[in-house]
Amino acid sequence: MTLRRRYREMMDQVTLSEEEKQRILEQALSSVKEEKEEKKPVGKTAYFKKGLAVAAAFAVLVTGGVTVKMTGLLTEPADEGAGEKSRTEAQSVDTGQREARKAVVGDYVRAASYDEIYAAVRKESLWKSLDYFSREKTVDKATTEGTVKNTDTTGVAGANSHSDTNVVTEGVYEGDFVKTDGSYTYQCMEDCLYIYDIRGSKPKEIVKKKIAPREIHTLYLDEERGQLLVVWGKEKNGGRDGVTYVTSYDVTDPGNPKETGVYQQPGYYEDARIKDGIFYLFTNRYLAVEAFWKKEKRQQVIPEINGKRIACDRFYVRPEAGTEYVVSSFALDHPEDSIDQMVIMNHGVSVYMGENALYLYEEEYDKESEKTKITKFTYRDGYLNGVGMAKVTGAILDTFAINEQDGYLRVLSTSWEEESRNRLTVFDEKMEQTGGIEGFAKGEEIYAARCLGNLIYCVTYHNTDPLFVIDVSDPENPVMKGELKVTGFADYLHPFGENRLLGIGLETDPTTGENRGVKLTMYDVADPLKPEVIGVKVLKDLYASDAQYDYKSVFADVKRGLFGFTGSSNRTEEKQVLLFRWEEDRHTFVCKKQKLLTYYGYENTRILRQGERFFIAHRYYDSVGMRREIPLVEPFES
Amino acid sequence: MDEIRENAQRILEEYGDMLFRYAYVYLKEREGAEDIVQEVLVRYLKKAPVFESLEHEKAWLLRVTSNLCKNQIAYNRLRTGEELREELIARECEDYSVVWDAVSDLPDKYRRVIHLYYQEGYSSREIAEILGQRESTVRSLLRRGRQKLKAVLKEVYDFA
Repeated sequence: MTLRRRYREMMDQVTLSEEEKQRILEQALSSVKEEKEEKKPVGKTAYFKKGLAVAAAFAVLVTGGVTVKMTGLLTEPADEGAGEKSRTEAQSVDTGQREARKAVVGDYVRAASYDEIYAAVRKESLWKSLDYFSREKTVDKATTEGTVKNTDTTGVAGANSHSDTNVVTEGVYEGDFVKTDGSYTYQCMEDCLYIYDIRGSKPKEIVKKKIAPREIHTLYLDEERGQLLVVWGKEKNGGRDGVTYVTSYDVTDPGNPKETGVYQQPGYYEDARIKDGIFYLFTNRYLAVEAFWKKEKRQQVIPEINGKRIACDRFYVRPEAGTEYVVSSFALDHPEDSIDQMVIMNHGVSVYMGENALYLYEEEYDKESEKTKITKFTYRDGYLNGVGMAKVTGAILDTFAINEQDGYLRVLSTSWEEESRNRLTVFDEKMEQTGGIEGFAKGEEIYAARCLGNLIYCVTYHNTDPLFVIDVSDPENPVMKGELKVTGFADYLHPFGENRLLGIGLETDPTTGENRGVKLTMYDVADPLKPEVIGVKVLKDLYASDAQYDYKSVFADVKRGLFGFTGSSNRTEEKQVLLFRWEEDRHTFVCKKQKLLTYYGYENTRILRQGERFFIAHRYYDSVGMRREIPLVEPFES
Repeated sequence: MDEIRENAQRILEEYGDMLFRYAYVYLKEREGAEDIVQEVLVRYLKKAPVFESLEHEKAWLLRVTSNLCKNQIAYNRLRTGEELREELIARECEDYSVVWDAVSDLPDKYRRVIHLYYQEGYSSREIAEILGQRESTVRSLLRRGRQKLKAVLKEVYDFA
């Protein structure tokens, strides 16, 4: 019997009786009636002790399986421009910076014509009419990836020194809901952009501007050019035809942002990276496969970027496809001109952008096992070229468990057979395996990883947490060096100065696994054979930290010995924002600032630094009413 | 008022159990789940937008339920570990205690995607829309959730 059936059978027992439904009906009606009579502000009812604001209505979902009736093949829409292209394209256009593109990159095969693309979608549309939902779904690892040398949010130095978003790879920037240039903060929440002046003693809102119909996904502040890029999305046609926009604004006068251009890419926003003045946008789109015989639906198959159809040879097809993962690039100097585009006709993938290459990876399942397929692309000057593909056994469980250094890719993965096993695999520039370590920490899973040069630190956990140190200076022969067993585990590791590694995680009871509180650990990693714990602090009042699932929520300023994060509190329903200082001379963690967030609807927080002043920036569930009382950015006082 | 009543009745008829089950799995207890259904109904009557389709309406209801449950859990942190533990052996699920225990041991982030996936049959894309998360995040949660369940339910788990 399948898990699904069992689950449903179980849930069948969970129902509302007629009396209960009746009671709910009457109480709801009287609540609505009350409000109408008293004209109370929307959103307050007797049942919730604090005023609640509910998320704004959102549109649309894919409708359930619709049977496809194939009424015969229709001719494909005429394609201008692309036509047939030979598989191997040796080109060198305009700037001469593009290299010859490979026709086959592992499992990815470049399309030679638009026909191939339509054929793939047509095949998928046949599938769609046969219970689409029962097919195995590929499942990916979370968010974004990368490896870090010694990244932190120390950010810009100099007169108006300020912190910056905590990113995965040094030099590869990422968007976030809040950005600062030291004098102003730029934030998005739901459909609006907010700009605050933080130069005075109290942050002052100077701009509130509705930008998106519904939601702004992320912001990027390009200080060099005085421009702010706002990434937002729009849905049409029941959510199928989502489009992602990047609008650039001139914010040289922050009180007066001026729109300078719009970049448009089909699909739902997945991710963004910015490096060397080039913006890379990743979106994911589902094709209206079940309506493939309708002409306008077929036209939708070929995405257009800023009105221009993507050339067929930029597509990597598979025999049948109903989804597209779209990647494109543009220069920050010319935010309306697309440099290059790529479409992978695939389920979404996870993104890791290292210094030299972009790696897109996804999990694949077959009856026995789970593998992760990693495809490498160079991205120099915004041009995307497939280099090679490799597979590792298992899944990549942590953002930092995939890391590129000096052309070598190191991957930590976990697979489950009888018990879980972990492995390290090393690949060279061509994605050929050079070496690895098989099957360590059996029965445990990788919870956190971080690379410092050629040393990889990873935390595995079942009931206790060994910290493993792996030396990968010889790519053909990675060596397990030290191992340190401690209780609890770290969810997040951060290099913290010379020979120091900071861990933020949880303390647990080694026999019961019971959560004992958020734990901070400082490791001395001077000797790879003998990592040691030199400082520990357990925060019993906190049961979780945002660092667990959101690396951007971590504030780290190694130069000043400071780090901060947001924790969830046991005692109250509130969250706590904490700033700690690591005192090297006394080997202790000292809490420098602490703030209780009394409104429990906070979704995300960030700690920002400007000079020697600190701020907390918020984003929360739903605004309109609540927002009037709660500032989006406030000073972080002790 | 009659129209409002009719509308409310329709919602309870069509979606009452569905929302209750979701809230039940999310909060792991009955009383709170009932309160949530009521609150969702109130919000529907007061704030619902014009829906493009029944699917849209259903998804909207689930999203509102999700947000309310999320808030409620944050608020519920006041309750101590002990009190909560008793409710975990939910009486409705006694016969399915093995499955229920496995599911209720999962953190709420996992439970809700597991529920939307197994009970409601949504794809990860659709779940991402309902919960306002990235699809890759949903997939990761689903994968981890399933792995955890698999470990507990080895003999019944089936990849199909």
